[in-house]
Amino acid sequence: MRLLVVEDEPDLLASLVKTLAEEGYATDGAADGIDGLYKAGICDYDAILLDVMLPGLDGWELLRRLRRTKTTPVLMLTARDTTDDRVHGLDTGADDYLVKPFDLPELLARIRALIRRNRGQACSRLAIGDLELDLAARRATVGGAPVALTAREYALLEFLALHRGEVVTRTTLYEHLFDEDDDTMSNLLDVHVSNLRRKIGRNLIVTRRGHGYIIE
Amino acid sequence: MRPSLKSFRWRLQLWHSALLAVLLGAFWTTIVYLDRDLALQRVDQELENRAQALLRHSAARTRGSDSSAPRRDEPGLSVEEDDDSPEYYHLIVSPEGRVLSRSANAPADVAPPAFPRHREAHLNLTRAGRREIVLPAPHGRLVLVGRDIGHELAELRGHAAALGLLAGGILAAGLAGGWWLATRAIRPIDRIGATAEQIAAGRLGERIDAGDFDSEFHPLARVLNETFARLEAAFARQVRFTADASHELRTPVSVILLQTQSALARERPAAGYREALEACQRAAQRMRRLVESLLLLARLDARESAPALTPVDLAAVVRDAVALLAPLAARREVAVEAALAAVSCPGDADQLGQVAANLLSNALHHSPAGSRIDLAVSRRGAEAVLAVTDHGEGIAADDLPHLFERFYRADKTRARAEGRTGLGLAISRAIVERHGGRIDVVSEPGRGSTFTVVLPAGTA
Repeated sequence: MRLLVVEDEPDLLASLVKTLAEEGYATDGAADGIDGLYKAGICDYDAILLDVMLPGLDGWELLRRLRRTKTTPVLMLTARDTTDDRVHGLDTGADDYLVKPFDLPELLARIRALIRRNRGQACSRLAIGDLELDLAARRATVGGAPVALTAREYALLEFLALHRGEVVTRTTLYEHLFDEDDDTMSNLLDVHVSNLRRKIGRNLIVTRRGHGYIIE
Repeated sequence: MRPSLKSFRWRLQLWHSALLAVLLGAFWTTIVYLDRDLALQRVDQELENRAQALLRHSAARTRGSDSSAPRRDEPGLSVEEDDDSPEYYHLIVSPEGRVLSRSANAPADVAPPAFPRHREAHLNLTRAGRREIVLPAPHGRLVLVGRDIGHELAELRGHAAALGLLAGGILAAGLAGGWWLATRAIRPIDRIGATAEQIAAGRLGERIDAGDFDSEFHPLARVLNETFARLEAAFARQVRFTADASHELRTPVSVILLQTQSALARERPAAGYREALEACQRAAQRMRRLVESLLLLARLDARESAPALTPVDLAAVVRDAVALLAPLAARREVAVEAALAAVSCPGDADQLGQVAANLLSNALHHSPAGSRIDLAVSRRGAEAVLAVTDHGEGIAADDLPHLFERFYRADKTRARAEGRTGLGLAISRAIVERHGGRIDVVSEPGRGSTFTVVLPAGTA
């Protein structure tokens, strides 16, 4: 899953990016509204964390312009806590609203819920045959037995599961799962897929030659 | 509305009705009296004519009869009954008071008149609604002529009653008009009261609509509206200040929460914890600066700590500020040129030092490397002047009017990144104003800005 954080406070931006990366999200940061809008425009993020008070272009305006072209889920992060502000944010096109200072577990839960809902998945448990994914705990079980997955492997499995029945191209996977500094020309993806197959069974992830991968 | 002497409207109405009643009463009395006087004059004229006719008649008869013995029993003066005017009666009295002649229709209780001292007409209105006139007749006799005036008196009473009714009507109309006027007069007061009540209830945007007020109320309404507007602006500033302050505090708290929760979420190498602690420290330091600034502003607002007005050597204060900020100046490679004349002004050295440091630090942050800052302390008449000039990028005209507002930052990202609170200039202005001075700025985009503090100078 790929996230964009738009936040002008340098310490907050840096720690958000770092924390989300540790949680297994490929995370980009933007320090002002103009950079944020540019990044949100050129890349299909799974969710955007947007501060309201931004230099250059404030959060409301960024959201209004973004909504002309994209339906990316947006979580507003703001220090403004009046009901009017929340209503305004949600009406402008935000999908959720979190008031600073927030607790990290709540932020992560809201991000998961945003991504899940965006894929039409109302429940945080997802079952495909023997395989069961707990989207909240970020754990997988096969036939009731827990499977030990790295954060990157879990993210790959979750992405394919949430796009069940769709062929997901290698480019899309790279875009949504890997950071800007990962080397996309390497066979990193093939390594992750082969590790996954070894842990959860050979037949679940199907390779479509020249297209990508699919969970049917 | 319940009548009450405390009520302006009721008191107005009371005075108004009392005055009207007294006036109407006076008019009524005058008119009734004049009317009666006129009617009686008419009757008296008739009676006098009758008496003259009686006397003439009597004289003619006397001349026509034997004139040799006029004084025997004076039958000649007995007037025969006048059939065409039966309402008149008469009485003739001898100088001795004897009744010489009495008409048949004279009421029984008609008394012979007392002999007048002067030989003049003597009028009186006697009992039972009769009017009588007494005239001197030849040979010292008196003739009394009278008649019943019940009819006239009834007419007069009718007039008086009609006039009374009219006066009552006028009084009622006057009272109604007075009530209407009083209502109209106090309507602006009611309206002003209602508006003030709504404002007191928190609807600060309400204003008095003075459109249809009488002109006397316009200045009052204008003054009140201006006061309400100032109140609303002050309240809005306070609300914005509180919102800004909480916003400024929320961000560092977010950093601390996020850093600690993230650091504790999993085992990490020592460098990871150090990084998190450093970020927390930066956030906490920023919060400390903010809290100190907010407290100082609150104290300046509350005017609880009156500045200790001791003579302060402004040049020394500025020199201290320059020394304090020398490391920052060196880091930013900015030269500080100070031209400090010895000027003393009464004030609080710490607070004035803070003003100098704020202005200098502000100038340093807006000076490109290699540029110069000019500091000048001088005396201009009875005023001490501190001028701080930088040669930086200047301030946009749009920002100038807001520069001294709390949390106003012309360049938000940079100021925030440098950890400045956005309160420095607001604090400087509050301090300078408490010292009875003023602070001003002129700026030319691209050329730099000059902040000028003017303080009342001491005698030294």
